[in-house]
Amino acid sequence: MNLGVGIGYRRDIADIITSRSAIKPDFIELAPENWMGMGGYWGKKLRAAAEVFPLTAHGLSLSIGAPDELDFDFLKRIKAFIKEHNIQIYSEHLSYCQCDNAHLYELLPIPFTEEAVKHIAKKIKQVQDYLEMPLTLENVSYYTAVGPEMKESEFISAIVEESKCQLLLDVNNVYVNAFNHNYNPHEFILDLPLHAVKYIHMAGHTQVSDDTIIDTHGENIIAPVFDLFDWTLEHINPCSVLLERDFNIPEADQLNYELNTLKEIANHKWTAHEIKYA
Amino acid sequence: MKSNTHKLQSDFVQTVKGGISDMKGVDRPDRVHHYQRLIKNIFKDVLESAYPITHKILGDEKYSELISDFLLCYSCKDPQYWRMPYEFKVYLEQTELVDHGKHPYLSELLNFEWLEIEIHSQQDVNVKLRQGEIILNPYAELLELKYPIFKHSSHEQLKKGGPYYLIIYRDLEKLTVQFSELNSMSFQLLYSLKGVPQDKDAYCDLIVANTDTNSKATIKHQLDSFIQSMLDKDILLDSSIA
Repeated sequence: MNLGVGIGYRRDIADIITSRSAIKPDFIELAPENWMGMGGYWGKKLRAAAEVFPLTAHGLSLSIGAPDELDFDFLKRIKAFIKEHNIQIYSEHLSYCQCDNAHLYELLPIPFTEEAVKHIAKKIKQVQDYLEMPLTLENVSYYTAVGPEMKESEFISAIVEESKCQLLLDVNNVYVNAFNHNYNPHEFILDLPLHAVKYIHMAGHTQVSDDTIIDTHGENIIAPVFDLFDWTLEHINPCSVLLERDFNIPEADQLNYELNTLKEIANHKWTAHEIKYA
Repeated sequence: MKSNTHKLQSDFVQTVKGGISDMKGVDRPDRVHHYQRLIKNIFKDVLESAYPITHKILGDEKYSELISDFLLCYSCKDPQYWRMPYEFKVYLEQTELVDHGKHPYLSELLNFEWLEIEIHSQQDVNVKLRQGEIILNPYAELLELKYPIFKHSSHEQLKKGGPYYLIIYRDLEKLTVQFSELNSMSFQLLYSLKGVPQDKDAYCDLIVANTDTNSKATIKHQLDSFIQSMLDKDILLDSSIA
């Protein structure tokens, strides 16, 4: 499914997105946890946006990588939300934010272990069966590995292989992780099961020290990340692309520049694109 | 018994919460503080925004200490982080880190601040009323309070005992949350219109009939005026606006 180039629907920019006056994304993505069960002022804003744009959902709290079993009450509400708003793609993070029945609301690094692969693949299958749609999982940024038995790319590949889930390739996260953990981002991407990539995220980040970048979604996308995006598109099938901007949101001109640059690159790379994976 | 991976994850969570300082298996212990900072900021931002008056009264240092303790000791159950302040309210009502004797109004204040969030966000409901019926705004809570937590934000003023009567409700046009102080009679009248539609004329007749006074016409007039003013404020709804 290729919805074009979209933008994350955030409350700070809800009105300029819905009015389509200053920026014109092809679709919008929202975090269902921030909107489920929401009435009143924001419920009205969401309904207005849903009338204008196709929607995708990018979850925060499924915690697919947690040792805990799935929360089916939560999944039931996700399923209802997906149905109510005709959500086209449901993506989540290959991480965990809950452990031992406690939520931390932050994406934590899963140990890259065989045991985790088996456990997570089982949970992914349960989610896909329950929701009756594919689960698309994002490679997350992380600042330390925890008890790794394999490389990150091997871990992701094993999960995709075992669960048959789809991949959300966050190109900025690849750049951030490659910098933070000193690997080659191109080699990393080529090591992934690229046939499974159905969605791309792009964002900015913040370098906080000589050897550490934090994935803040609070800065403009830098040129090397655009370059990596450009290169990546040569290796994957056309799919939806999303601009994420959560903090320090700039004027519409900058958002337009980033949306248009992503569109130009996608149009250039994918117009003559040979479908690589059936 | 936990698997190895589960133990790594449990230990890492305790590490980022601040409960373990030298976890084995972390490749870059020098970067753990980034997780600690990110998580603390998430909790701090949402909890300072949810309870601005409580935060002001307890002060930055105490409030920060409470957030850290909440993070370390409490297990948040709600997957929707914007609802996490409700769990913080429950925690604050119970923790011994707050001197409840010094802040006897705290529970009422927390409830008031949480209701602002809850009523603003409350799922929309479909109210159907017949001609002549009235009902209390479904996005409203009536509070009988011991302390004037809606009037003041200083510790000394807050301790002035009541009772006080309050309604907190959603303005249906602006979709903002409003509150209004009531007298005990108004409180009782509105309470009796909660949840179940009443025929306005029959309701007024019943109230007047049960009033022990010779000036029933005056009471009826005052009651009509009161209901109209409540309709004007969206505190009561009738078939024209429901």
